Amino acid sequence: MKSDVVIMTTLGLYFIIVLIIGFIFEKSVKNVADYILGGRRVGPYVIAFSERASEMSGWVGLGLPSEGFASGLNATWNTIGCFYADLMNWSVLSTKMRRFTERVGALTIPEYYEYRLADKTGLIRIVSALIIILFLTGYVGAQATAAGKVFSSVMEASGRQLTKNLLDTWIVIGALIMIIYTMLGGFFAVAWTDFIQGLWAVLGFLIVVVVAASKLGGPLAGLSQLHIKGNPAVTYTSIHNFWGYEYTGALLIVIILSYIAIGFGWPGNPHITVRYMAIKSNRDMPKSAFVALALLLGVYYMAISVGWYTRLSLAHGMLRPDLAQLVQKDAEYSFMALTLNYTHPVLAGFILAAPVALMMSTADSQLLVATSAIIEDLYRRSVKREIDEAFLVKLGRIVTFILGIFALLWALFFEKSVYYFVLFSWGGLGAALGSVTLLSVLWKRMTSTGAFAGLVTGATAVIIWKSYSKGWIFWQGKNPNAHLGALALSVPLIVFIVMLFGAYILEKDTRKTIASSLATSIITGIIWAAWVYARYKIDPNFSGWWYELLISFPLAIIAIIVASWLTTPPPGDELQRIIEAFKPGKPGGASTPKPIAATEAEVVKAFLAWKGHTPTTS
Amino acid sequence: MYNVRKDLTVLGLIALFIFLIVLIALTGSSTAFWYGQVVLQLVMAGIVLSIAFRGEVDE
Repeated sequence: MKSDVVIMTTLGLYFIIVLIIGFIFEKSVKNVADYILGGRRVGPYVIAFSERASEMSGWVGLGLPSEGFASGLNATWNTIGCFYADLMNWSVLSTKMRRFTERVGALTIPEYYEYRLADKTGLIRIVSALIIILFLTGYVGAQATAAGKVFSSVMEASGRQLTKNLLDTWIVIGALIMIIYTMLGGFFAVAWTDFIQGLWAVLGFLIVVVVAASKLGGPLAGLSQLHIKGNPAVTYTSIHNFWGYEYTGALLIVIILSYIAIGFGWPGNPHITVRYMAIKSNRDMPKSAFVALALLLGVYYMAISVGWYTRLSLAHGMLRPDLAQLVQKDAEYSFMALTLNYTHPVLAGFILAAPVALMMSTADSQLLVATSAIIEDLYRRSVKREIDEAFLVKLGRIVTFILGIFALLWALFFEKSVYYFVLFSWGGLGAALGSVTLLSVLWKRMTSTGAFAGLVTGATAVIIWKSYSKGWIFWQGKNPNAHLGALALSVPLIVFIVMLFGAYILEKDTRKTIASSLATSIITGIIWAAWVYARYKIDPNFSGWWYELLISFPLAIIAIIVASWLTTPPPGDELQRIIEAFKPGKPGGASTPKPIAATEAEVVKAFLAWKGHTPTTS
Repeated sequence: MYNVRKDLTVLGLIALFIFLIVLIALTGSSTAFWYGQVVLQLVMAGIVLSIAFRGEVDE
């Protein structure tokens, strides 16, 4: 039997297992709260694995090995940034978000914002839901691309030529499995399959790293070779530059900070933060946090090691010629090349399911969050009546299918690099939502207009800088410095115009609208212009990596602070109620605010009453 | 929100440890960087989480 048939059979077995799990838990979904948040009844270890598996996507499975391959030791920087960011999430956000959202009956991040900011216009909910849909759909697309790469590498390694059509075929197959599985799912199924997928991924990475390390002379045997600039054993420059090692001074610092800035995305990616809201009790949070952080360190370092070992195997001529060719064509094939090079086809099938597991566990969580943004934030909370739960669950499944198809089209017609595409979506969510989420628990003075300013500034800065970095806008030929003035003006101008509309809806006060819009755009404009100028002075050829999140996250934070100071916070009693809802306390204790509602129907009624509507049953 | 001082302590500690890691990277060898950052991260997780969850899990 041909090796690719053996490998694909093993992979197929993996898919059957996760589909069975999906079918088993399908029956547990009785209402929307079950479908999108597991009824807040999920245990600590499942949440820990689910939080990790949801974040560790095709980016970790394929992107990080590629980074380790291309950047050597420098790839460690983003693990450092990610570790501290996840630590911050667990420390600062987890227990407060769990407590607050349960007490007010919020199921999604946009709903959380709405209650936290006492926004009765619905604008913050709608805008944040649209941002989630925009960035998450592309994110899921990148997961489909990742799946396609795993499948096609198997074909390629078996001597079949890798063509665009072959890659696209496998992207379609990978995405369809992902969509079907997610439609079956709901949060229970997603969390439990995340648990299994997370374990599978840890084992898969562990096996390939141990086998490769033993062949290469020990776990850190190649590390010193990777670090030495110009070492003939690893000087292979036709794929990527060795980031950092070819740069010095200010640009080196910018590049290191860009890696660390990946961590800014943590509080803003809703497929991660909703995990905190779903845990059974805050008492379980420390267990979840320790397990999740240990998993992060282990899997990230193993993924980077895969890149190092692939590069060393290539440098020492230990890779099979067909696999060497594959990895030279695209470093994101590192994991597959190393696996196929050193392990038996049956074991390879098991191991290759690891990045697929990471991809699927992220994609299903993201599809679920995007679905919840549509059915819960845009639909249910906008209609002024109660809706049948069974109908909403059905609607949710249809929306999941449609979003999945959109993501598939995105993967087929846009960029094929998993690493950079994920970083873009990650950055957009991190800057726009992350800034608002973080300040929502740290700063009680934040207003809804301030939050709107953060959402708009963060999303705009990420989109503009990414488009500029790719050479799509503000370039002339190969010159990135041709339209620096227009680039510097673009963000403050867009922020000013959008802020005028948003601030007026939220404040209903012309003076405050103009003041907050003008001040926000001027102050963020000055900082943005300084960033543009710094790039021009430090890196005139724009050859280094200037990650969009490095500027857009602080910019969004500043926008929130400026706009909040110039607008009105909620009235004292409402603000007090919000603060009380964050506070810990024993049930029935004097300091514990009573939950607003106990059941889904009561939540809807309470919400409608809060917004001044009289509910009617359909 | 209800205990901003604790949250800021946590964030301050995180910033301090990142600074230490960058310092090791810029001044030390690759081996010092590699082991130094791993040890710092493990120490960090213990300290930060024990501060962060104090008084948080009494429900």
